[in-house]
Amino acid sequence: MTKIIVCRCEDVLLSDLEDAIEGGNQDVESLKRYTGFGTGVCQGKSCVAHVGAILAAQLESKAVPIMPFTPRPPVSPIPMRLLAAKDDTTVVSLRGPRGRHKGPADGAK
Amino acid sequence: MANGWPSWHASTGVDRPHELPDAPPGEPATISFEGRALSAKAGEPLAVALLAHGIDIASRSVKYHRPRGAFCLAGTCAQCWMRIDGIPNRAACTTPVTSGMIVSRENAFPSAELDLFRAADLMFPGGLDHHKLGTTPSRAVNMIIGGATRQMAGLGAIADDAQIAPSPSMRHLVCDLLVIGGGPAGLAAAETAAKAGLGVLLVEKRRELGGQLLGGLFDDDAELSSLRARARGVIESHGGQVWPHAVALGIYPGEGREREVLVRRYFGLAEEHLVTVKPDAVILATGGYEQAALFGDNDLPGHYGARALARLLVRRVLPGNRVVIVEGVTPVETASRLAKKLVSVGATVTRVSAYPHADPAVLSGRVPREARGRARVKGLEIGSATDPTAKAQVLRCSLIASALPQAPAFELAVQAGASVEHRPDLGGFAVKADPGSGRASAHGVFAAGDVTGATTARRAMHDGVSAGLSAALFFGPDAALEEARERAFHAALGGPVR
Repeated sequence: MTKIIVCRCEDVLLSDLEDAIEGGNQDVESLKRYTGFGTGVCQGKSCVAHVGAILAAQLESKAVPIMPFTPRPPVSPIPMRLLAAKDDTTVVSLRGPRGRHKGPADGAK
Repeated sequence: MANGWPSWHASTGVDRPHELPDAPPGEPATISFEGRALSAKAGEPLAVALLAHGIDIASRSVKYHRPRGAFCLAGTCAQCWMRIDGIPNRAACTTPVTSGMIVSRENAFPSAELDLFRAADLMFPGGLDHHKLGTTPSRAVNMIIGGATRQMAGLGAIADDAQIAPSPSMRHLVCDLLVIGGGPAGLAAAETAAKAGLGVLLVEKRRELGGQLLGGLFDDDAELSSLRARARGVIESHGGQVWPHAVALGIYPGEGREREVLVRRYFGLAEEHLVTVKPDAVILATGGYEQAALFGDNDLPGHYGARALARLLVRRVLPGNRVVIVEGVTPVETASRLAKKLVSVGATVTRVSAYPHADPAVLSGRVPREARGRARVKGLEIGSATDPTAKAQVLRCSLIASALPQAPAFELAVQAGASVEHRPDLGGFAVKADPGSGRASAHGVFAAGDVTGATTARRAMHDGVSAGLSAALFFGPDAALEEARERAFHAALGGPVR
């Protein structure tokens, strides 16, 4: 028997989502909490659009606007060591003649 | 090849069997893949080097231990994560090859080629409900199940300590305009705004600028090609900066209407560090993510995004010579262009579309049902889009390309306070932007291109011009800029250009 995979990161099947919708999880956030879809490495980039469509198809006439779950930073994984870096307090300014803070672009590196 | 793929070259003994004969030699580099020495080219993405050798299983899935391979080749689908030079969970598709690189696959026993943990997949053909797993009346049994589950799940082993280098300091930048994304929309927007007098920073996550143009599918379009070739020079000559290899990680609200964008510069390179960017205005040209069509065993290695396959072709690597291109209910311009490219290198192409296609050669009104093959794609069963009882047909193939609309990359827009709407016809959750100006629903935020559900590359470019002009007008009225925006709007619609 084959499996229709909607969320590859967490191996969530189309049937898991359909069962969860039938079980009363009728918005994207609840579906995420119940099935775990969108909680993996890609954070929903490959699945949340599909889940929106699946939800719309299964709910049919119940016209509640379908919204995605809250996309929190960072939007792609980063090593913790980058966040632990020291702070360089110099501020580079990139301003053009039309900008609010008028002045030539200094283009400093 | 022992893996049962139809090799591209009829002859054996070719060093990289899935590379086209006209592939440029590149700078030779040798990598060590699970103890095997493989020939590669310095700087090419690791996933491409492995595919050229016919290594298509990059990982095993977290729960059922199903074989997985690269799908998007753009660093987003997370299916090609490998242990590279002692560091776990690095995307092979965005990691450039260096000579002597040591690569292995993770989370499989005894190996990713033959993973005994796949028993989890075969034992639970209908799926495994984790809400009920390990909830028998016996506490002892539950503990055993819990322990075994923990053994089988996971994401790699921790990094070798010696590999973790200290990070360079976090930097700071202020600018008039930040443009996020260097595809046709972002390039056009940044170029236009720089020419109009803004201090512009453009960030692009890839090493190269161009976005969807990198697939070589629009090389016959003089306007798009010229944009890609000139944009960086124009922006820099007006005092702006262009940062490839720079990923916008998040947008944070600051004081009043200020916002700060966290950027990872020199992504994946030794000198990588974080930068906080404080722009007065932001243009989101973040594009979208390639989506896999939903059908049985749609996660088998050999199923790629259409744009991913196009970029592989640019690198002259094609891991199979019989291709089925699958379109959904919305036509996608990539599909026909990719088909043409594939045919030109001698591949056999079959197109399937759920919508009625004018070309009789396209199997229209048909949808994919399930892929054939155990460890990689060997075929695709298709059926009627409207009649589930109609007889199915099996297409023999070694590659499947999903050509669905990109799912808009809306994350940063929402963080910036802009609204999105559910538009399945546009690929998912599209950022709402005024069609004439690119204005999104947050102060100083504009959007253009795939992130708004743009239908074509040209449309993305025209929307980019409008957004760039709107960003310039955000700093004060100007009749000439207004007029230019009016012209851009008509150009975007393909209507009269004054």
